[in-house]
Amino acid sequence: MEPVEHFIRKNFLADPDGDLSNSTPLLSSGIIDSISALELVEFLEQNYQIEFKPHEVDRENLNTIDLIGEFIERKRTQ
Amino acid sequence: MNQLRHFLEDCYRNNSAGIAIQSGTENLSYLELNQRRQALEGLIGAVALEARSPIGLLLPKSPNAIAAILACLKLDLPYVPIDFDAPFSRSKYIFEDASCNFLITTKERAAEIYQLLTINKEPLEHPDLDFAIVDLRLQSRPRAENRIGPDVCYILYTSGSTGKPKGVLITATNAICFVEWAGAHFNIDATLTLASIAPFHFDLSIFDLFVSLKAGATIALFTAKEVKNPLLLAHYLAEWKVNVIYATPSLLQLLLRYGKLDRYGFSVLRQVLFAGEVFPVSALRLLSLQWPQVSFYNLYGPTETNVVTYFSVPRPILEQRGYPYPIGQLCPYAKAQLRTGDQTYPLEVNMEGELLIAGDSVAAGYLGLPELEGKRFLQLDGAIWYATGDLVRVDKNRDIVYVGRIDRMVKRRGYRIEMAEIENCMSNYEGVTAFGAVPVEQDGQLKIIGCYESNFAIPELDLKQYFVDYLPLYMQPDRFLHLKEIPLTSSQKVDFQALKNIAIKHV
Repeated sequence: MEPVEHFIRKNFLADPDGDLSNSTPLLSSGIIDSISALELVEFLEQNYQIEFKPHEVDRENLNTIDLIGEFIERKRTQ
Repeated sequence: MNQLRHFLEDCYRNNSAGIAIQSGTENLSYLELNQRRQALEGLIGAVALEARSPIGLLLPKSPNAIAAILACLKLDLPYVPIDFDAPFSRSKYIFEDASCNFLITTKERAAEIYQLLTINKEPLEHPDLDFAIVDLRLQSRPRAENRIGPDVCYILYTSGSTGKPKGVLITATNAICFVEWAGAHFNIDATLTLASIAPFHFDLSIFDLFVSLKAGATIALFTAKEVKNPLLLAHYLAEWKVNVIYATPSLLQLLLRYGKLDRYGFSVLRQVLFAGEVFPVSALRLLSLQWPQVSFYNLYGPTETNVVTYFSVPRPILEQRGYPYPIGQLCPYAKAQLRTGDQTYPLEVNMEGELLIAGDSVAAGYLGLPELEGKRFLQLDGAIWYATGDLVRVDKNRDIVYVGRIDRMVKRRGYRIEMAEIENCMSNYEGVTAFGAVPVEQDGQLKIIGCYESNFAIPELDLKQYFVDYLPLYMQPDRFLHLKEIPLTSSQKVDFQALKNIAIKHV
């Protein structure tokens, strides 16, 4: 999940070297807002060859880097 | 009686089997909508009929909210739609300002409010439906009584330049003249599905709700959460076979940028109406290429007058066109004149001035604000004219062109500068998805900060060079501020107050 972490640091953190772990809440903390979530989705679709269904753009799949990793795994084994 | 309730009454009878509301959670036929309205009427009727004070509607965007609006109309009780997602302090300001005796809300929210207001009683609940009534008379604080005219149907709160929301009093006559015109002009009939994207406290929703219901059409109802996810919005617009969309340019641009419109078929979409702010031509052009069969209309009008002008966007939209389209021609129920200083003038080619509007759609005034009302609703030649605060010009085709807000105009080195003109220019810069120019005072000097939304920061020198090619020197922004997101209001328009606060921090 390193590329995802890098993408989030570079694009959404005020300080790219700030605190961010695999379990840091992203949406509920406000690090990622509704528009940033869509940018993240675009990044994930392009880099992991997956396609989000509209209702999958949701907190339960995107709120932490761990959840994002699990979601990508699920999509790939589907 | 020319009342909104009678005006809408036939819809249930004529279309009882037709679908009135389509949503992500449930669909209601006209018959079912009517039953739900009646169920709620029983609950309200038990408490509210004694006093004709406005009823606050604090409900999420849902079929229940539409049933509640219809119940209030039927019982002849003026209602105030309140943003369900706004902080409680703002909701409280509104229902207190409107002297509401009762709120209709969800059971969960009612319990929360009783706790917040320390009322030791149980809210009145509907046995089956998720409706509860909050009795605000149980509050211990003294309450002001506002007198509301007998013809007021609903009160829409808009944010004022003073920072406090103000209630605009809308009568049946106001609503009906617009609904009748719009239904006829856009050929709305019972076979169509109209998107309801705007929240009910925003006046764009009057079209979605009442034009649909009057025609017996289907309302495709989008919740606040669905509207925030352009992927989901695009998906439902296609799946529900929406024919007509009325939305702000900000929202349509989000849909274009993130909605992945290529994935879906929009062959039945036939009209897109937009209003509330200027639609940058470059984005409108891209949307028109995406939806080649769709007719686009620019509508204009503040909440105080509802829509008073319309313009049909000609096709194709040329790539080299930089300036936004006119707001167009007056609706048949509206009269207009221009004001500069103390003088008023009729609309003539090349004239410019503040737009004043009279006619059936002009609201009955502001609730409890006689001083402001006197400044904005003017008595001239035996009629009431609403001073819009919008600067307009009449072009050579006799179309009205929006120039900008009078209060967003500043003077620098003796020149008048309209922020919107800087924004129009910036909206065509490649990679910029939204833009707002704000004037900021610094050490007694006026600085113009150009805030832009983009995926990447653009070198300041590139921007300066670009502006030098398009605007005179006195209009150049002094600084540029790169933002990941331009703040929007709950009605999806650029929030200039918030933008100004961000800009002040960065100067």
